[in-house]
Order: sequence, then structure tokens, then C-alpha cells
Amino acid sequence: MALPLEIRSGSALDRGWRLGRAVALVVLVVALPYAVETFRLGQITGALILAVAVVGLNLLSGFTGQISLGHAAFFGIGAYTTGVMTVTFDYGVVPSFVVGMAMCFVVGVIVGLPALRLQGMYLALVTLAVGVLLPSLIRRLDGLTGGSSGLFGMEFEPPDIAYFAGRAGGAVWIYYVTVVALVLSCLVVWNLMNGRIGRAVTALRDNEAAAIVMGVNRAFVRTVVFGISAAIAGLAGGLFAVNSGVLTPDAVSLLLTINLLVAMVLGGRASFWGPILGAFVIYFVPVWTSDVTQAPISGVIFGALVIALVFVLPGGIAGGLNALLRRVVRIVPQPPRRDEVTRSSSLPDDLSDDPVLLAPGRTEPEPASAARPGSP
Amino acid sequence: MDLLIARIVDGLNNGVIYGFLALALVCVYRGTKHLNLAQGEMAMFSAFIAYALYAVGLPVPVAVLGTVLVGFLAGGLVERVLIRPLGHHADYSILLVTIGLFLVLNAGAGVIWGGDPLPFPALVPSSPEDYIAFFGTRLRYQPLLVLGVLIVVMTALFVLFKYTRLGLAMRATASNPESARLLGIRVNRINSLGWMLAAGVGALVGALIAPSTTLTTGMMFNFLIYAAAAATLGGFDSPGGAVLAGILLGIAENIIGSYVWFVGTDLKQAVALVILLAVLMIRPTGMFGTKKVERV
Repeated sequence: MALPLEIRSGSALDRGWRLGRAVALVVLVVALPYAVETFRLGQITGALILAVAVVGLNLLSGFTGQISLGHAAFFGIGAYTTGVMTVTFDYGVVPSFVVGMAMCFVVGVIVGLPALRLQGMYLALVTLAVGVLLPSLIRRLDGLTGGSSGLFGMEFEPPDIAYFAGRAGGAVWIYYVTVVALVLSCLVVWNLMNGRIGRAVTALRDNEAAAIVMGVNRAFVRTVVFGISAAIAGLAGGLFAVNSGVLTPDAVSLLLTINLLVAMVLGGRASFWGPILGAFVIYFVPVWTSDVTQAPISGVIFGALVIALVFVLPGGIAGGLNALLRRVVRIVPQPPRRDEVTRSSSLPDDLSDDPVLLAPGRTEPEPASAARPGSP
Repeated sequence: MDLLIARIVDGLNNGVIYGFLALALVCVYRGTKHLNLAQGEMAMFSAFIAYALYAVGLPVPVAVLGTVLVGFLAGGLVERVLIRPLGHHADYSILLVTIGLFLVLNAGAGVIWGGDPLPFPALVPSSPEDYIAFFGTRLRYQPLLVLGVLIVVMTALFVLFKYTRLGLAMRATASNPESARLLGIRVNRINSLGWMLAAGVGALVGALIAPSTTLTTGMMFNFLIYAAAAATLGGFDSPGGAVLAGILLGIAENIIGSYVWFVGTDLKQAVALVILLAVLMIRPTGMFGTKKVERV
């Protein structure tokens, strides 16, 4: 059998392939709590929470091309809002999530304002400033946040049904909550990026001046995207708070930002699956390297791995997997029906099978534009 | 009044380090427009190399010069092997490589020299009795040495950039790499030189401040953040601006931390970043940076 297998877009096989993937994913998500032990499920939840934050960062840094070195701050604002509201003031978890996200949105818009005037490294440094400010602010406001010794006792009580009973049930509950949050975040990002705002964002990234001339409202688009990105990171922070039950300023330090950035670029920025894959890598690789070796050596291995992956997989893991998949299965566009061709054009018959000339719309994404770096 | 002077002097001690490391960041940024997040860790690693040279019996000044040479060569090597192959516009890839380098150097120093702080011999007398009395405060030799070397290095770089053919080529490369290449300037070599200078300057900082901070793997991390802030404030392409901004930041954070009750010691370093935010709101290219005019 000759590879790659060619599948016509829109054919029964193509639809089956799409449906099959979706079903496989749902089965995987639902079956996971039964397949792995509680401890491992907790780790997977941790990776998924990281994935939510990376999805948020990807919206800003991946699609918009604005490097943010401060997303740990939004994660932290979400986490501490949830922590303080549930523990100190006894509010419910869901309202705390909502308030945390709202706060992140507002702070994100405020941080996004200088982004209108700043470019490249200057913007990165502003976000870095915010990222470094937050841990010191948490230490300073120790009456509210517990300071350096931390904030304890956050939890998300599962609903009172037998399925979620006990300690294992609690882990399953928080796992499902995280899955729902991740799906919602992905949907928000994907709908945003495939709509009017997404086109404006891409236009701004690729050629800012031209985009503005074409009537893109830069101030609105940039600040709103910054706010939404921050809000998603805040949601991840809230989940982190109730999942771990402990919050310290160190948990939201610059190290977290670095992890998020590495996860985003390793996974494949401006892609759908990239942030999730990257988050899993960033969560589990240190776990494995420290299983195999002693602490300082594992850090060296992790760093070397980051450098190696940049060279080996420039499009990230998602890009690499896509390229691999394209060698096995190829979705080719459906040629238009013959009567349409003869009616609309006078091209010779032997070209009617050429997908590029006659395709009603190219279905393959263009990797070149996704891999383009941000505005210079 | 004496207290105020003492606080200014204290702030100056840190400010000089911010400015010095900022100078290294600027050397890289001028050429390639990249922030080297591993700059601090490269300096830290160099300080450990100086320690190793000293430990095998070399006198301290020779050890310091030796590590500067090693840093100089290593900087060129890093640029050639890890940065140049990625191309000029691979912002994210380069950022990620510098993060990877950061992790490797940080953990690597821990592997080789262990996690405990090592005592580093000072170049100048630094026992508690060694100081110059100055308006009731004590000027120590160690920070004065750092300040003196900083001024020498800054002047040397200024002369290099401004008055030599090489400096002219560097400025041409910084302002427009494509045109510079067409004029016959070896742009790659110039960028390499930027990394070498940066790593050399970094090695000098590391070895010079190691006696006062003690030699640990985490000694540079905070300095890097404030050096980056200083470089931004000064305008990323201005060496003098970066140094001045670094010194001002150090003094300002110490004064505000001492006199504003809310700030205290916890938020002292945050002051530097608030200043950064404020200045960038008013002047997006920093205090001394050149405004980039864009042609459409």
C-alpha cells in the first residue's frame, strides 16, 4: 500500500476519520479515571491545569506574537482570588473562579494598555515587571494572602453523589472540572481566532501598519485579547488553588512563566493541540528525569532537552506530529463537480483534477503562516 | 542627612551591579535584538570558573582575567552553535534556547560545584576595618572597585562603538543588518562579537561581585531581572543609558524602600519595576533609546 494514503476531503472516509478521532478522544477522557490510579490521575489533572494556562498564553503570545513574561502573575491573581475568597470569606468556588477571571481580565487590559505603544522586548519587559511584582506583593499583603508561609485549605467539594464519593472520587471530580475548563478555554480561543478578531489579530501580527490602514481597531483588539488571555490564565490559577490546596508566592514566580512559555513553544505555538501537548511534556518530563537521576542532573537534562527540541522540532510537537501524520494520511481537497467546472471556466479537461487550481477552498492549513515569528 | 547618604551609597552598591549586567544585555541586544535570558547564569558560571582557576593555585587577578577570556570565547561559541543556526527572526526559538541555556548552566553549576555557597577571595581588602569614611558613612573598597571597573569598561565600549571602524560596523549592523551586509560588513561576525563582548563583560561582573554576594548558583537571578529593567529604562541600544539607569534604579529602590512605609523591604525591589512601568508609559523607548521610525 502506497503511503501517504489519500483521502478526499468531505468524503465518507474523511468524515469517518474525523468522527473516529473525536470519539477516540472522548473515550480517552472518560476512561482515564478508570484506567489510572488516583495518584497518577492527580498528576494528569495538574498537567491539564497547566494546559489551560498555556492555552491562555498561546492566545496572546502564540497568535498575537506579543511575548509575555508575566503570565504567572495572572495565574497567581486567579489562584489567590480563589484562595482568599473561599478560605477567608467563605464564598463558593465557582463564584470565586468568576471573580478571579474578571480581575485577571481587568488587570490584563491594564497591562495591555502599554502594549499599544511598546513592541518586542520592551513589552516583554513590562510583562516581566508585572510577573516579578506579584510574588512580592503577595508577601507584602501577608494579612490577606498568608505571605511567604502560604495560604491553605482550598478545596472544591464534589456534588453529593456516590460517583464522586471518597478521596478517589474527589480526584475524579476535580479532573472532570479541569477537563470542562480546558474544553471551554479551547472553544473560546478557537472561536475567537476563527472569527473577526482572529483575522484582525493575524493581520496585526503580520503587518501592523497595513492592518490599521484596513480599519482594524488595534487598541480594542490588542487589549481585549490581552484581557481574555489573562482571564484564561486566571481560571487555570483558580483550578490550581483548589487542586493543590496550598498556595505560596513561589508557586507563581518567574519559574512558572518560563514553564508556560516553554510548554507553549515546545507544543507548537498558534496551534490547537500544541499547548495541551506542551503542558503534558513540561509537567511530566521533570517528573521522569528526576525519577531517573539526581536533582541537579535532571535540571541539566531538562534544559538540554528544551534546546534540543528547538532544533529538532522547530514547529513544536504539534507541528512534528502533523508532518508525521501527513506522511501516512493525506486529506486532499474534493474536486468540484464536472458540470460546475465547465460552467464557470474554460480550463482544459486535464486540469480539472488539479486541486490547487480548482479547489473551492484549500483545506490544508498553511504551515508557513502559522510558523511566522511575531512582528519584528 | 548622614543616613540619607548612607542609603544612597547602599543603593549605589546594587545599582552598579544592575548597570554592569545591563551593559552585557545591551551588547547582545544592539546586534541581534534579542534578550539573552541566560546572561546572568553565564556570569554566574564564569564566576565559578574563576573560583576553579583560583582553586588550582592561580592568583586572584589572573583567575578573573582568565574567566573573562573563557567567557569571551564561550560567548562566541554559544552564538555560533546555538543562536546563529536559528536565523535572525526566530524570536521565540532564541528566547527558548536562552531559557534552556539558563537551566543547563544553573543546574550544571550545581552538579559541578554543589549547592552550598563558596567563599570567593576579594581582590581588595574587605575586612570590617577597611573603608573610607565619607560624610559619616563607610565607602567599602569592594563596591568602589566594581564601580571603577564598570566606568573603565563602559568607556572602553563607548570608544569602541563610537570611534573605531569595528564600532562603526557594529552600529551599522544594529541599525540595518540587510544594508550592512550589502556594504560588505560580516554581519554574522559582528553579532558573534556582540555575544563575545557580552559574555566577557558578564564574566567580569560575576567574578567581581562574587566576594560580596558569595558564590552560589542563584547569585545572579535577581540581578538579571533588574539589569533587564535597567537596560529597558536606559534604552536597549545605549550602553551609557543602561549603566546610568541601573545606578539610578539601585538608588531609587533603596531610598523609596527606606522612606515609604508601605514599601518596606518586601516591595523594595518592586519599586524598580514600577519605575520601569511608569517610564515606559511616557517614553516607550526608554530614557536614552533611539526612536525607531518606521517607513510604510
